[in-house]
Amino acid sequence: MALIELENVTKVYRSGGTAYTALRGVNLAIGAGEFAAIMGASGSGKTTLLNLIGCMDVPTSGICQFDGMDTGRAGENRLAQIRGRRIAFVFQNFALLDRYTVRENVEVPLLRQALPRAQRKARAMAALSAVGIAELAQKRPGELSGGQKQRTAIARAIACGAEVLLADEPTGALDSQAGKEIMDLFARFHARGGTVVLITHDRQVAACAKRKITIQDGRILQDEMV
Amino acid sequence: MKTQVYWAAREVLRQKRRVLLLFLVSFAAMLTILSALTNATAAFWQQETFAGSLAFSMETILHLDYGDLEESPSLPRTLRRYRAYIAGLPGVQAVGRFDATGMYFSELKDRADYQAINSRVLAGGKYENYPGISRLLSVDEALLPFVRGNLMEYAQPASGALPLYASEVFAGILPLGTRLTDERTGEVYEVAGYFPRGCRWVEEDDLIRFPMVSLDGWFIAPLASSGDGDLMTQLSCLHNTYVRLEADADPGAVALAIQAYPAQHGFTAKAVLLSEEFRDYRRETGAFTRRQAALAVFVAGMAAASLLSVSATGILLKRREYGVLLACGFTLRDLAFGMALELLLVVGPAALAAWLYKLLEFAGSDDLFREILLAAHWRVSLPLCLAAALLLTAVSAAIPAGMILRCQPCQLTGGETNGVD
Ligand SMILES: Nc1ncnc2c1ncn2[C@@H]1O[C@H](COP(=O)(O)OP(=O)(O)OP(=O)(O)O)[C@@H](O)[C@H]1O
Ligand SMILES: [Mg+2]
Repeated sequence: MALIELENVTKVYRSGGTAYTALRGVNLAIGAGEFAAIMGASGSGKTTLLNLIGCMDVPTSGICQFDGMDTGRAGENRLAQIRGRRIAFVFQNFALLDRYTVRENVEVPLLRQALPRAQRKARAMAALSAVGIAELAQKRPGELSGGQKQRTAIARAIACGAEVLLADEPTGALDSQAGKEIMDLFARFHARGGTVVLITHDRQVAACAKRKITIQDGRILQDEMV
Repeated sequence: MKTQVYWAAREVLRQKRRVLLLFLVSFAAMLTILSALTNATAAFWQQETFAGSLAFSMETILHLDYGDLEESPSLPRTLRRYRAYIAGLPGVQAVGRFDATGMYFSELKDRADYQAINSRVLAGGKYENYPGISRLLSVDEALLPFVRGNLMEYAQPASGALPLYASEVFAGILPLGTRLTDERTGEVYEVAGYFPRGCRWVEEDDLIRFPMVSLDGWFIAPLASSGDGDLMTQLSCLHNTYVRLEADADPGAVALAIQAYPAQHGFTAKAVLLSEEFRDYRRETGAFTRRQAALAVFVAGMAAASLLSVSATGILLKRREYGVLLACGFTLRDLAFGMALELLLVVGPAALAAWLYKLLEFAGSDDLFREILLAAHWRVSLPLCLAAALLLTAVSAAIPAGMILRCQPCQLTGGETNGVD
């Protein structure tokens, strides 16, 4: 059984009186250690799909499983535990807490895991060194470049020991050089056995992945290994 | 839990301006709430201390209430006869009066050692500038046990002088047997004993509504018979005349008999059961207490509304941060709880600060009700103040927390599409 499995998943958004079907009967399996890229036009349902995979949302119908657990039925505590320990997110808009330092940002999941202070700090610093920004530990996100912010988010993923990295257009706001460096970090995460699923519009970025999933109008149009 | 407290504390420390605003709002609200609560409970406390300090059941004491009296030279005699009449009624145990006066003992008023001690006990009171004065509580023997903890009966000095009991504070300078003369009336007293510090007596002008009076530095003696013919003495204890009833007496019948006499002798007076006067007073203060409580609730509501709006906007501003926390393994419940905790960390200390502020204010005041206010402030307002802080927090955190709890985590990460928000 694959690490991530979606079975006939439909997601309907309701706002006010109208309903919008963002995903229609999606079937998808992603195994541990895969490196997959999700592509598709704007509004096609990519972010919706990633939220379901990352236990940030539940499907309207169908079954969404993470490591054998039905996320639609699991309690909030179980889901939060998976989000905090096994999955890490890297968003396009960086998803950092602006009022906390880089190191504190990296420590957030460890705080929830109730790790002792010294251990938290050591793990955060090790992760920051791994992505090459240890010297920025005391800075705040506002003082960082786009690439440095993404590195911080990746450091957070490494520090919490996540095995799955979900990224929503991680290079969308970066110049090509910074984008390449971030992709190198993803490749390294993958090389050490991690699972990576990322959304991108950029063919060059998608080329780093071993699998390319194309989505259109809430359906999977194409799913190919490269 | 530890994590949440830690995080909430950090959040509080990080938002100094917002926190200061919240603190000031809560502090001001709590001050008003506490004043209302303390006022309301002080009245209640006053009743409790009064009821608890009377040595007789209020159901067995009648209070004489004279109407307008003509101040004629024959009045003292009329009143004396009236009291004798009452004392002879079936069901009546005794009639007694008391009167508290500031007077001078010829032997004492210029003594330096007396003045030294006296000015210490008079400090801050209305006789502060009269160190030679003596405060004398004249009580008929029948009323001596009126207040719990004082003398029960008078000894009769062999010399024929009136017995005088001095506050313990004068024990060192006024040995037993010391003779003292009332400068105005010439009445001679002899020190027959001492009463300990901390003795109290009811306030003579209104024994139900006013706090008890400390008798430290006072003297107690029976009413002199020379005063029986003295109009001034008679008038000054007119409103402090009480009738003690036998346990099995019918108060209504005795009261009727008491009222019949004045009608035949050209003046008016009636007798009211002390317990009835007390009930009336409780009814009055009940209305007052309800008004104060309503004020407290109203102010608490206003405070909750403003806390709510501040915390709700804070949550809108922090929406994306909450998304990050959720993605990092926090639960929606963690966030809702953290929100309440953040509020509590501000409202709680504000409530305590307000309580402390009031405490210092009461402690430093020379209000007649100071001790009562302090007692009410400690015993009633403190727990109520903490409860109010909790309630205020719960109410103002409920709606924003409810908003959060209804979301899916992804709804807090930055909206439908992932453009920069
Ligand atoms: N909370 C929501 N309420 C209503 N409609 C929504 C909501 N979230 C997404 N949608 C709609 O669902 C569709 C899919 O959204 P989604 O964010 O998954 O698209 P996407 O493929 O990630 O697009 P983009 O490339 O622009 O990020 C869109 O048409 C969007 O308007
Ligand atoms: Mg998207």
